[in-house]
Amino acid sequence: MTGSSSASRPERAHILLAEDHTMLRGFLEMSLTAEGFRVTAVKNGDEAHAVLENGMQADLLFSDIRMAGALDGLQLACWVRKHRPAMAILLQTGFTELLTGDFPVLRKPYSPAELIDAIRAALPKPSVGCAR
Amino acid sequence: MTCPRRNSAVRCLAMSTERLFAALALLLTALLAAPACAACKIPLPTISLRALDDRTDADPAAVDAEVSRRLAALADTDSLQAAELYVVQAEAASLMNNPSKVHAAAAASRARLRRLSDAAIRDALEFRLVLIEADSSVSDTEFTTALADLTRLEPTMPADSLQHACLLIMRSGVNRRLGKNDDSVSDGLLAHQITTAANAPSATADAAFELAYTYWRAGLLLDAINMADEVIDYSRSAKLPGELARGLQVKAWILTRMQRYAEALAAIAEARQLDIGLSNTADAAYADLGRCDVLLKMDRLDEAEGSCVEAEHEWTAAGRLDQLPRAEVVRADIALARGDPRAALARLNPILSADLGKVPASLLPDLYHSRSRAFSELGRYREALADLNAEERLNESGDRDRRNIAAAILKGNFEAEAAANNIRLLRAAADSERLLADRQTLIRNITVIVAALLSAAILLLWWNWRRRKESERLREVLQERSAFVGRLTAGIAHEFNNQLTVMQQGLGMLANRPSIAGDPVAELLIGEMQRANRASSEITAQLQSFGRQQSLNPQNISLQELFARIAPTIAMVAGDKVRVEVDSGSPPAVVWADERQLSAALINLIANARDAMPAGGTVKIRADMPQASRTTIAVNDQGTGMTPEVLSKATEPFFTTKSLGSGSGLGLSMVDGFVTQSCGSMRVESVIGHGTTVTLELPAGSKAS
Repeated sequence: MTGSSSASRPERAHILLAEDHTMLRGFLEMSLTAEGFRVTAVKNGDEAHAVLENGMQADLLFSDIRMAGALDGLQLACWVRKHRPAMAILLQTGFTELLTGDFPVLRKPYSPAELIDAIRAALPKPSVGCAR
Repeated sequence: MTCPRRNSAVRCLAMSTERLFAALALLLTALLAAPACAACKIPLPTISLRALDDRTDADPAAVDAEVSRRLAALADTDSLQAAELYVVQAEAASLMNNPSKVHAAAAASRARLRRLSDAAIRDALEFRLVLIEADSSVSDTEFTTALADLTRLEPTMPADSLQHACLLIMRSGVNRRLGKNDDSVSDGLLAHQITTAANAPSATADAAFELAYTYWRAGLLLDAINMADEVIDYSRSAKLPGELARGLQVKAWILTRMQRYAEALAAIAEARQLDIGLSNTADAAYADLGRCDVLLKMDRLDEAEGSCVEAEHEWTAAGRLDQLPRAEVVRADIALARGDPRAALARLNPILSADLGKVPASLLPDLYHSRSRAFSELGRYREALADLNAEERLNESGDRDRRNIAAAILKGNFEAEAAANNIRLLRAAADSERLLADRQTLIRNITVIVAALLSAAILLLWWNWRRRKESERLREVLQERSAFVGRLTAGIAHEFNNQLTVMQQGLGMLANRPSIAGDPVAELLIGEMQRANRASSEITAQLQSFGRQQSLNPQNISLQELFARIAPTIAMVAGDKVRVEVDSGSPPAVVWADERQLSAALINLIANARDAMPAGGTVKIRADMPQASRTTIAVNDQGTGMTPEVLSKATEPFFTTKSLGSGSGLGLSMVDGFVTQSCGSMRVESVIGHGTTVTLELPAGSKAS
């Protein structure tokens, strides 16, 4: 289904996942980890902001749009673009909202294959399969 | 909305929905004429011209005269100074509400700019020209041009510069004017972000102002009021009395729409105080007119009239005689509220029979609207309808469907006065207004279970409504309620999408487990679950598109061209066994509708026709213009047909005769919703064994364009 396994082609790209739906967050973490990504999962925009402010480095922000707290996904993405320009951004949403700026958006629901494709497409080219 | 006691449907409906929009649009348009963002005014390259440039806001007429004098004295070779002087002239003309002079000056400036070699200067002056022209746009065409110009210039400026923010602020207003509320909010949010980061309170207040206005436009009153508060906070802390007055004015209008009249009056009073402090008599007059309108809504008619008179005095004192009709139209409304349509006519007739070029363009729709009400009170329905049509032609696209509702109801009145229906009509309108205001809070807090219960309750209401529909002409007004159900549905769909994603991820991981590989039963079960999951996703997607607030963007569409464009999709939907014959009429029919929605509706109908002919056959699509003003599109199949029972339920949402899983039952109800929203109607005729014909009747487009 998802193509490669972590053993055959490790991808060490680090993903910061922000998603407020607990079960979905857990499953996404499992899916992405199984694919060989390093994942830091947080439960809203404010937490994501906090870990980045505390110096954590990540290659990609993968964030839900509608989340409680001071920063929703879109605001978080704008903050990241401004303060961490090297970081790639992918948003996801289950709503039909159109105001997503020029960020790539993954529409829920999606299959594991669609998830991995979208993540790969969003990651900056050098870090895809850069496995050392 | 509360309504006056007298039972004229037209007047009451007008009070409940029309006046709010009309009066607010009128005043906010006037307020918006205030110079946008100070950072937009890039200093002129020639230092000696800057003092002149700075005086433009204060005294445009004097500056205009001075510019003409200097242009006459200028050597023909001095392209730079000439280009700059024309920029100043354009700005002065914009402040004096003279759009044709703005465009002429801008063209003259551009002709000189082309001779300059310094690209930086060219870009800077071009930016100012584009902003000035955008600011003085009146027609859809001008706004469309402004949008294109602004979008063209956007890449030339640094993303986080204040200039970029100014451009976005302007474009936010232009987008809103073109009915693109989503784009307007998007621009406003980005501008807001840039200005906040740059710590530019005045520009932040401008961005917040645009957001407040667009949110208000879109009916998102809570968001609108938050933004208005931000305008107020920023301009208060940065000590910007002009901005503060503007923010207070907007807030007053939002409060008025929320029926928080006392707070609205307080905000207006503070704004007026500030305007007077700034010796800005014209804006103080706007405040008085605003007060007048609130008092009119509170039925305090004598005080309302007093405020109007005050506004007229202030405009006279400020030399703004052109603004007097604004007060006259509200005074006419006061006369109507007093039950004296003749007095209203006496106020409106002189203005509408004089030279209309001198009346502010944004006011004309309101003048016609009020006179239409006066005529309808006097039983002169033919003239009332003529005025309503005049108003509709003038109105901006965002308002159009609301006006159409009023026109449709007036037409109904014209044919037969169904007084008994009116009261129910008003309650329905009031209910849907209230429901809309509550929905933001609702959707945010709702859990899946509560939402499911609520939607069940609302579906009951909906059934109930469908039953009554047969005997009453309430459909147009109650569509607002259906939009509410739709938004609720979209909220539920969102929650399901989260759950469906969890299942899809889980099933995907499960399928990859080594213990599953080679176990045929497990693989079969997982495959079936994945299929069921995908089918559920399609249902939520359809729920969402059903619930999406469809903002229609109607335009002239040649059906011949439309059919040619969607031919590949039609062929794909029809499949191998079904042939599609298209006749776009002779001469080819033209329709006035939203192209995307019309295409979707046609494709839905073709899919239905295909499903009705499992053994294959021919679908005939025929367009015709039986009258000059109406276009019909008939989609005919030779399929199984429908029984009268099925036919009567065909447009109910979720009704389907297809086997479970092959159709969601939303198709025909969506087509029906779109057609009704487009001021048209849908007719379904069916004979068992002979096939079905679905006929859409829509407003005809004009062939000229």
